[in-house]
Amino acid sequence: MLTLDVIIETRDLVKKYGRVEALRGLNMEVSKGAFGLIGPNAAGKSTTLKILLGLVRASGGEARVFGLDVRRDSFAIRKRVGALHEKPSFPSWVKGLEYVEYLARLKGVRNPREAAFGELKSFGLGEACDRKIGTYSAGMVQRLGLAQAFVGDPELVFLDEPTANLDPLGRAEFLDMIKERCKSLGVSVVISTHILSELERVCNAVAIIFGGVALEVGSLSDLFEKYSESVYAVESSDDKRLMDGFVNLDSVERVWFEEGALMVKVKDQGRFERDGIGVAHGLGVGIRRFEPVWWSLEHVYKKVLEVKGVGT
Amino acid sequence: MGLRSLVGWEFRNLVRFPLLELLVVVVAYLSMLSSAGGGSLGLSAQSSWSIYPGAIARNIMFSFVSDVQYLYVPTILSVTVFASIGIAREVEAGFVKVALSYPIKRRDLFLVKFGSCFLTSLAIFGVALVSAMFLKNWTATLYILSFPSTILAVVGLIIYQTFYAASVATAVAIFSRNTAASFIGSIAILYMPVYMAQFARLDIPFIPPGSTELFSFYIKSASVFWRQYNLFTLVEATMVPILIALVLLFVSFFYFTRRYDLS
Repeated sequence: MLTLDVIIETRDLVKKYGRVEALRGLNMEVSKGAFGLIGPNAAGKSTTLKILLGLVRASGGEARVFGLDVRRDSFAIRKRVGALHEKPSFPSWVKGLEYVEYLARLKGVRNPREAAFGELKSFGLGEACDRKIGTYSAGMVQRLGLAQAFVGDPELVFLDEPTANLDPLGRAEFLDMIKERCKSLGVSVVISTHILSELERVCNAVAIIFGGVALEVGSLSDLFEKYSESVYAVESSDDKRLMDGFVNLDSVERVWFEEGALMVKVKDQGRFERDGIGVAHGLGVGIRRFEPVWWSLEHVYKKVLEVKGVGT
Repeated sequence: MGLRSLVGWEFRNLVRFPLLELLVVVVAYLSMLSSAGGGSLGLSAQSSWSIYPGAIARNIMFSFVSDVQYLYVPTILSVTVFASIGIAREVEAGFVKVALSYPIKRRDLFLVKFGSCFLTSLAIFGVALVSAMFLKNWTATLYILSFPSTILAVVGLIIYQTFYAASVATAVAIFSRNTAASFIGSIAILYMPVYMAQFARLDIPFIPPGSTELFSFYIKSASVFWRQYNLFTLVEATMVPILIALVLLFVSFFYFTRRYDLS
């Protein structure tokens, strides 16, 4: 049963391309807001987006967007969503504004030219909108793709590798824009990307997909809570002696060197902070750094794969 | 609004290479003029015009109708090019994927694509036919115009040829998903039966262009000698290709609307 906030739901979703199984029973729920799909190449991320858009037919299971079945109600779903496909390609002989205007017409936008120009301008193509798409750089084509995905004020936008071909400044601008649109206009986005730091910056929930199944689905805070490990980075005047001292502590699980620091995985944070400092004082080792390591989404991703026993 | 935009977009796309259209018109025009008997409009007979006006009129009609079969070459050229660039190329490049991410019904997209391919080719032949009739010798045209039923039949024959070729080319474009394969495949499928039959010394009059000759015979005999058609013989002459065209259209329509993954 869908709750009010859940906009996408998949149940045992299967997709086979001949003998290749792209999806092997994908289960996930996506709530309003910014949602990320993470996974290695051929994990099934793009296939999932295409099934949700009605471009690819599922071999089994079910998928719903806004509570509507993607097979039966694809037309109604596509009225309410926008999409940017991976490596987008647009007709080179048409002007940018003409193309987005045409797509806006397909969507039934009341003032298609105005809406198209507004989106192109917001994605930095205001001055280039009267140029033929064939003259655009790869980054400009990507921006055009983003503009067409957002034209007509969709409630939900699927973005497959949206920051590919954008320069660092363009990426930052785009991510800020996504956050702003989610916040002020209430647009929900589903982003599929390999750049996890971007997802971390924009999304409030993710699904980690591997081999056509969702290994984990949840809010970032829940995933961090579940998979983050208490690891401390310690730098001292004699790391070798300190390492020997830490190994014998009950509160310590494992100790290793990484990037010039002593990394300590602990079982009990409070006890380690107390015992660790005591050991250093007892050994007469001076402490320069003693702090917990902040886990990124990339750490969580690797940890999930490790825990689930799949490839890294 | 969406469907109207789609139709406008498709036609605009297909006529974006005016040189191509011009080439096809010229080929069609020349086809109408370069056939046996001194040209489709019976122009060689002009010198003996005053001697046997009745016979000349009949010759004019014969050659005019006979020459329609030569339109099969430019028909194939235009229809396969349009299907290749309008369907296969767009699937291959991902334009269809973008379009179908918008609220468009697959049924509408298929019909618009087939329709634009069929109607654009037909329009080109309309221009070629009219120009061939009026530019070369308009006095001979007057004779032809005195047989309006024959004109209608010729138009019907061109529609029939174009419909058959457009159905084959559309099906090949959809199944191949590749511009070059679509173009070459369509030409091969449209011409292969004729050449294979010639090679095997078989007579297969029910596939164009052979069937158009058969059709022409009925038109000629009916319109010139009796000025009336035998509907049954016309249907008989055209039934097999029309059935093939309809089956191909139905299969490709079903596949495109129900089974076509745009990955």
